[in-house]
Amino acid sequence: MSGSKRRIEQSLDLLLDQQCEDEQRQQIEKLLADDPALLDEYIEHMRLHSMLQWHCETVPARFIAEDETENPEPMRIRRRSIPRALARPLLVAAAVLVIVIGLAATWFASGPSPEIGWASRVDGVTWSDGQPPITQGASFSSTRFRTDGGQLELQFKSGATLRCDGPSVVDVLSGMRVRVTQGQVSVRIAESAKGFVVETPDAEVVDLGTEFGVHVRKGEHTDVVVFDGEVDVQRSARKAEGRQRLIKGEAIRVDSRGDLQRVMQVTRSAETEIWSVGESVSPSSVIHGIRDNLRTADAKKYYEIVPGGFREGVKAYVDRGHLWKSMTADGMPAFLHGADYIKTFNRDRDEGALEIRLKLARLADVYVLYNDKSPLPPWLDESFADTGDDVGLDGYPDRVKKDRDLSGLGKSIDAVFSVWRLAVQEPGELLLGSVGATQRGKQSMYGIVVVPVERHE
Amino acid sequence: MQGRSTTSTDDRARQFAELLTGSQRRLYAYINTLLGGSSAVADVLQDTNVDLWAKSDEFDSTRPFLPWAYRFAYYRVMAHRKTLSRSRLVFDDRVVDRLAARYEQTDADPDRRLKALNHCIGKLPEHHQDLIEQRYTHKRAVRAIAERLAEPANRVAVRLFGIRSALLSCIKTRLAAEGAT
Repeated sequence: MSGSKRRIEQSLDLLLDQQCEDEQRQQIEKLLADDPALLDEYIEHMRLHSMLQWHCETVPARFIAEDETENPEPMRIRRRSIPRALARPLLVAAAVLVIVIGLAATWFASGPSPEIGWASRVDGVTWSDGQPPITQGASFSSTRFRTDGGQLELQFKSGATLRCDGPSVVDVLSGMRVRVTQGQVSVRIAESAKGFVVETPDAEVVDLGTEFGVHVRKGEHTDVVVFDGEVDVQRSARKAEGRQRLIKGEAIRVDSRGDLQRVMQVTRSAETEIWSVGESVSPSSVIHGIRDNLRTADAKKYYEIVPGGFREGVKAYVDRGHLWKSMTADGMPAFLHGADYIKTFNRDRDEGALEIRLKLARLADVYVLYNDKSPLPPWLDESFADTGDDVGLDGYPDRVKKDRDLSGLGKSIDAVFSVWRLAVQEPGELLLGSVGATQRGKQSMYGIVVVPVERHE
Repeated sequence: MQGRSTTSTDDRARQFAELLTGSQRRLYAYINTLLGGSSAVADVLQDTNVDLWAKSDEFDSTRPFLPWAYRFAYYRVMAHRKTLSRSRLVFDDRVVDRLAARYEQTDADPDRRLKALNHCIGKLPEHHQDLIEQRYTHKRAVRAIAERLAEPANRVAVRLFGIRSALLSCIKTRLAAEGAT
């Protein structure tokens, strides 16, 4: 295969997601300009890509007839029948007829449509009393959504996606602004929606290109958690103090007086991306809580607990993009796969006074993933035992590494971490210390993985 | 005479609406191709529909509809590009012009292709169907899929490209077989 084609293969879908680096985009542009065969291939793929989007009902709802939007379940490809697919143009035709004629009759007279977006997912939603239900795929304009449970995802034409998990009250004020007075929302935005605002009674959060969450407990406080990118937070009661910038891995709690509290931990499911702030109250959780001795109430970094999330290629730290990888083609050590793990702060590698207190709800094996190049600290050497298994750390997952295959197991490893185990004999608090002292910036923070056990041998 | 004239106008409007509605998927694909998958595709299509409807009187019904409609879509794509800064444009004007010209030369019957696609998706291995379902039914970005699969994003992108290539090949074979019977 030619290098040109390989570059198109690797970049096309990232380009379609608008997640291509400028350099990649320019490469594709040049390849298409210079090579007619690649231009034809791009066109063929875009035709099929568009057909698949259309086929799979991902085209916005305004092109879909009403009777097609009633089924809230997303279609599963393999169940798709030919007659239904072929019936689609007729339904689309009917819908577009209404749209086009409607446009001709009203848009020219009254200006642009007030439509702001559409409901891209309606999953198990219980609507509050008096709230008209909205079906998946249906469009919405400025309106209020009040739910008592379930998951409602709103796709804004501006490029923002807002997901409500559980009971919530959300007012859509415009394509770039919502007000949340109760409940939890998660927001992800495309480049075009930079500046999207989430208002709450306690704060105003301005999205600067990111993925973040807001949880409002009415009359008490607002939690703001940044998963990626950055946001600006303006406290309602302290407007004179200006905006506060939060970046990836940071969170704050703002109360109604504008006072700040530290958010010590965020639990976020790798599978559903549903998250919660504070100590876990789930009876199935093994990690009840985590805290450290370093940060004051206005500190912004949080530990991220990922239940059942440890596997090949997951992020190791909240403040870096490094990934945990397996050392061999056999994959991760089996006893770690699917375990609960904690994303720590890599910058804590140089904090000699660090103490982490891990609160465990059940009997468990606690594993510390420790860089082989760092000196062994007594707390680890004396209490934990080396299992003999290792995991790797990919320190530069986004960097193009020449002559290296990024995709294979056991590849792209920048540091080797031994897996140390401690059998915790009773629920309670476990104290972990700092990384052994060495030259600043030359080592890595350890990782923490926890596996519940019924009883120890 | 008045009545016959009104009926004739209604018929013409109905015929035009049928042409327009029947061309939505192809216009969508055309705009999508020129914009390189921008999130603005639906808006540009909507604007194109408005233009086409406004200019419906100028359409010569003895000539093919799509080449005429593609011109409007092309101008709407160019108008949309003018609203963007250079850094947000996927392709430069030269590439967009080449794509537009080549696209029209290679336009094929989408209804037959859609029917063939339905068949070909059913022939994919289950894990490929799952990936297509994640990408298109659940509208997941490559990076989101990659995160779920714990794989590098560029590897997922290559797999998606490969699956689409397999589908294109299958569609081609099936259409050729249908043509032969």
